[in-house]
Amino acid sequence: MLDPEDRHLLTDALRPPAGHAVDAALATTYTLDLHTLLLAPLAMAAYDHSEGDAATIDPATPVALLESIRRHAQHTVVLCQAAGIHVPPTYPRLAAFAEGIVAEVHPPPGGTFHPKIWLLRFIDVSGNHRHRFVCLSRNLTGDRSWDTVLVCDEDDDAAIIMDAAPLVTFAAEVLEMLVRPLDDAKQNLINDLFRTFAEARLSVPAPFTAAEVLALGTPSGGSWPLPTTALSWMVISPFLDVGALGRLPRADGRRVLLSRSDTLDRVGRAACRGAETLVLQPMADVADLDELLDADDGRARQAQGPPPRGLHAKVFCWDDGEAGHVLTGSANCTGAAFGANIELSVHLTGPRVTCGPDALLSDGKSGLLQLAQAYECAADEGVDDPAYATERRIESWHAAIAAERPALEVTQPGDSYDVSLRLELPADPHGLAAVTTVRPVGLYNAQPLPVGRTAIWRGLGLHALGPYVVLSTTVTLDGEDLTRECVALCDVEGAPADRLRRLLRDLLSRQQDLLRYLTLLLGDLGADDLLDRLASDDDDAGGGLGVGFGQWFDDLVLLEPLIRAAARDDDALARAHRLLEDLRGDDGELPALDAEFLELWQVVWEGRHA
Amino acid sequence: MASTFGWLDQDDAQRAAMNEVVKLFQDKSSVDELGIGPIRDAFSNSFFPGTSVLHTRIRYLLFVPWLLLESTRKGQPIDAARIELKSHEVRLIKALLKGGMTSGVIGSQAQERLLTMPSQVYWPALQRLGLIGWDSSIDAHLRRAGQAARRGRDVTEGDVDEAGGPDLGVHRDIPAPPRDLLKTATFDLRADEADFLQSMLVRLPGGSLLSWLAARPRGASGAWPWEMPAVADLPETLSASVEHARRLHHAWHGAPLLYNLMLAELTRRDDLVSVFDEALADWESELSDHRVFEAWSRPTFWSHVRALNPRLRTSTQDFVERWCGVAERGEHRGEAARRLIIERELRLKGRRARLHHAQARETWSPGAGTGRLGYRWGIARSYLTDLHEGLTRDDASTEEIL
Repeated sequence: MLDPEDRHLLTDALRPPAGHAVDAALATTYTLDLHTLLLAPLAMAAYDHSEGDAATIDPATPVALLESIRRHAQHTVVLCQAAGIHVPPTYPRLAAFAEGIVAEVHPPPGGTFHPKIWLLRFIDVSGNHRHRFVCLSRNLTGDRSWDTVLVCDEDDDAAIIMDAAPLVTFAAEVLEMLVRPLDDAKQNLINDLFRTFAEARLSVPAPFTAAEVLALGTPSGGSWPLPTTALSWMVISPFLDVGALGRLPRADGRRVLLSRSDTLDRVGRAACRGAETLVLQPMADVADLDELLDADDGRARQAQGPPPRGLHAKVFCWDDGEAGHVLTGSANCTGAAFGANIELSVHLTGPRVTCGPDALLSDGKSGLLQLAQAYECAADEGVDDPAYATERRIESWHAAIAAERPALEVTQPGDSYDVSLRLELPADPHGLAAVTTVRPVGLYNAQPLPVGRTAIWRGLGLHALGPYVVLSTTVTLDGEDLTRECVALCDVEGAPADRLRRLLRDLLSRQQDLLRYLTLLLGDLGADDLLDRLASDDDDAGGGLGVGFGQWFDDLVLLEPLIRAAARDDDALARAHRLLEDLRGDDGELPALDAEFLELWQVVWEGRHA
Repeated sequence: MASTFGWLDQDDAQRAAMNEVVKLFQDKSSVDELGIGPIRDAFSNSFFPGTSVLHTRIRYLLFVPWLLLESTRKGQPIDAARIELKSHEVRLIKALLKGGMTSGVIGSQAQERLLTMPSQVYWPALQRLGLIGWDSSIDAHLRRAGQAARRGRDVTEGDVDEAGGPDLGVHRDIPAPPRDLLKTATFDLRADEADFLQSMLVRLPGGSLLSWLAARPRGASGAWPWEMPAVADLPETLSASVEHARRLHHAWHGAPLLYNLMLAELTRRDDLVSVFDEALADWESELSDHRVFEAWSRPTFWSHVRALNPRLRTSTQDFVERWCGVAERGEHRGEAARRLIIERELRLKGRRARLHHAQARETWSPGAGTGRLGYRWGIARSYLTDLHEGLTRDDASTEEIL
């Protein structure tokens, strides 16, 4: 169990089974990275690209990415904690098309919204549904930590099933906590997802023989599932606190805590109650040694460090004498996880030999232990980390601002746009408003303005009218500046209704891009070799620029996919039609395309049901 | 996909890297305790591109594409192709064992329970060497090849293209697999296989040592690259690079020895103190025997390393440079050398540094990190030996043996 070589990719977990397409998807995350958000639709569209790193999305595949986002944005909902979005280094052009995916959740009083799950529904050509549940310890971010993933796929033949209804109850309760209600279309979609998901026969992975959802912090949520006594246990948790450690079972056998060194120091030796305290060995938590040198000792204090690394999995594993138990998901071994937070974990059970602590610890020659080393807490008593408390305070402050539903009002005095922020400041007991600034996310050179006053930015382009603002708060702690930044969602009022259409036109202003896109739409789902041939064309080799359409037409063999699509009679033609409609200017013209193509298109389109 | 519970990776590249990390931990002497990795790997990757510490024998470069073709030829859906590929890979393990292969069989212990299949282990190499034509993940490859096969089937007889069937993403010139591949198999290359692999290796861009040796694989013997008979014939750029790698190999070795000596002292293991003390003394004579510092221009060395790895951290360069300095001056037993090692470990590992924290020493296995810098020569040599034997084999003798 959890052998270090047992490794999986999130993209695989989001990819539809053969012959299926994603039909509805609901995800929850505590924090969110906008680049990683863009990769989710790409995985769902089953377009393949070799790198999972959003920063290096292959420049040859923007049309595939654009299409996957446009296609999946309408049936994907990602819930994150209010103000839980990371500040992106740049606001990607394609992110505009994913703006409708994210919805913010009010954090519960005194806690965080912390669950990391996906509820997915796939559909095949006959309209049959298949469901999948994914439970992660990682947020929807580009972290490179040691994280776990549990996938429960619907399987009618599976002998061992997890009841899916509590997942639906949990998600429905979370939807009651949104900062802004979903629009009707999304709400209806999610309601329908709930309707079918509750009945799904989710299979439990071997070697487990039972699985049960454990929601925490919601009205129907459960509570601390560990017994008061056990034979042995192992807890993997990057964060710990004295309260939760005190609740761990009494055990005569082995008791092991695997955590991070700074966390163990914070709680102190006494709190660990004689358990073996382990950390990952230094070279085991990075794939590249340079990363160790990049990281600070302890937490990075900059607003934007390298992606977090090291241990991030949360696993409680115990042997009660009858069976082995594993609790996996978002809940850390902290009072907050089993108190104020909203969390979602899954309680798996199975034979002691394969599912208990012994299976996790293995023999030290293989398994997780070979990557771990003993770690002595710095002192008996824990130490407070003032920075930690301050960071939590700023985080709550940012969430409170986001929960006030800030709004961006757009006006258009000339060719460009002006944006002003409308915001009622929440209660500010710590005087943070004076040290907090705000700026629109798409505007890097904009002057961040203090939050408490009138904020207006002038001369924005269409792309920068997105619904995100960057909040930045700097406080002085022990003579050092500590800055925390995040992105919060806003209502946007007065932006042009056809903003996305115009952005799309900008993106596809070159004929070859548009033709590529059409080819993609007309092709089979997924990457076919025609697309690849196009993608391998060198964009700026001059091959397409200024060449008459006739030549392109021969080269591209667009006729063939067009006829094939018509013959297949799926919705490919309709998708292409919608795209062309989206691209028409106010005069109804499609400037990027030649008359020759349009004539042909017209014939095929009108004859499609002949 | 089936239901699963395991570790999460961001992408294929990270998964491959993490698998290497896990592998290195199985032999503590190969764990990089003091952070020489970025320099070592810069040489390894430039000498032997595409190789990995997870590799064993060269014939896997054919096994995997053969099994891929077998799993995708029929144009079946991806899920079925994935299951078929895995079952072929498990059958291959058994076939190799049946063929009497006692070492180098990936998964000989785990068999059906094997988590990291040869296809995953060799995937980056197959792409690097051009045996797999598409730049995609294994899954993506299976999907695409399946589509191509289905399309190929739709083509009527008259339309079959000249090249002989649809492009399934595997190099067109790959020799046909032996008929009984999944019943009994060995690592011995047939002559046509060796010819094909040789041509792929020779054509690798970048003028690597691997390419150069592939053209004359007979010369790939000796404990280290600089000890092979062919070293005198190397072109100048390769020769200079191999020479730098040789000097670093010797100069570096004292650092992990001193590290272990210090740990032996701290843990009061007198037996081990004398072991590492002697090892250091041997290393001192090694330095002079091999003229390690004689006429070694380290500014030239560093500009060479930087060209190979532009991302090299200055802190790593400084540390290794200072280590070379104390070693050259013969001060490696002195206080300054010890401080250098302590500081480096602290910088890398923080509160997990063994020289600083008594409890961290509990996971010290004596000899940690003292594995020699070999730059994956062992893997490359095994490749080239296999290649040479294949090229000189009389083909009639291999296929007939039962």
